[in-house]
Amino acid sequence: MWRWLVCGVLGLGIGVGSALSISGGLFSDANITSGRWSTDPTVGAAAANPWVRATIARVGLLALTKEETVYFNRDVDDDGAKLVEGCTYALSGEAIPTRWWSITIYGADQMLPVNTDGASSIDATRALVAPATTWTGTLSAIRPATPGPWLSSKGGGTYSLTIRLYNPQSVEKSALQALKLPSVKKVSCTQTPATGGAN
Amino acid sequence: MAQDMKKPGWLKPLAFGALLAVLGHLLTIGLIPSVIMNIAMKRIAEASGGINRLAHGNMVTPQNQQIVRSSPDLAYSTCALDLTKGPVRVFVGKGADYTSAAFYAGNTDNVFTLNDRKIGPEGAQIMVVSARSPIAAKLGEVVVSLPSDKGLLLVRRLAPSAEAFKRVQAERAQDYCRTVTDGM
Repeated sequence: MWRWLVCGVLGLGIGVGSALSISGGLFSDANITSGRWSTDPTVGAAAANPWVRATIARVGLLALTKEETVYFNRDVDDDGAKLVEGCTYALSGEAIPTRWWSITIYGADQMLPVNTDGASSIDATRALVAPATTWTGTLSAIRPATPGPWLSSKGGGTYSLTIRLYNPQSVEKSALQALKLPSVKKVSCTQTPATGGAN
Repeated sequence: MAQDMKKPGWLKPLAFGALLAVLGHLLTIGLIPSVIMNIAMKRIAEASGGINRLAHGNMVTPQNQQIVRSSPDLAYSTCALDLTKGPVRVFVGKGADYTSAAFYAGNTDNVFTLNDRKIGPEGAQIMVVSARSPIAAKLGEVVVSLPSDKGLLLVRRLAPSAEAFKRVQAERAQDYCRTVTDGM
């Protein structure tokens, strides 16, 4: 009898635990990538499988469908190392064929890092002032001395970035893969970042 | 001989454990969206002073963020929808910049979104109905049919600066979400 009890409790624990573990990841089923950015085109849609739906409910509740907004995520720099608070990164990008875009930083708990820098995001209206077609900025825990767009990672620990593309010109897979999304190049570190996995 | 006796003793319990693992996994995955939506609806209804009422959020900051992955560049308005006592009427005014009204079913599906490109200068009149009890709309009214009796409305307005947020506050002052009481 005790064998049944042990196996039953262990089985149930493994089942529930694996469900919570899988759904806590950041779009682990993402199947469209553009550089180091990745997205799952079924986010918000009725076609989303139960695992994607559970993941979105936990890490991106109330997302829009791709026709309205495409969400690309990344948690590594251009070299594949995890994004960490202890490093400074150079951001650079260009005009994207979408109505409006913004980049936001989220901590491991999927919330904005708690700080008072007022720099949790960079958006197209501030980064790309006409007639400019390219922009550069900084991602760091300390306000940079040079002017320009700044994304504060203070309090972020090991974090991720999300770029929202509102009303993109095309949501075809080939068009999304061809997007030239902002690069995140490491400049310096006060701590060594771990090598990241695919995101 | 003794070993042969032990093997059958573990085989069935292990199979039982594996079955419970699969069932537990599928059940948990299936329940997560509705459980989290229920929690979100409860919080939104509390913030709005009840169901079928629109609440306008403040500028999102690290200090006041309510839900995961909110955007500091957007002004959010929310309404917890409950259609068990009839349809709900929504009005969203035309914004000077990006505006959208997104409707979510109880399982988190984004079933319908109307953005400012399809909203005329007079704003959008929207009737939200349950798929179980469809209803005829008034002329010029957009009908949104939710597959469940409960859901959420999330209005987003682009407001990446304090100045833009101030403008948006005036734009959304006339927005509403309320139970239909005119007998329609």
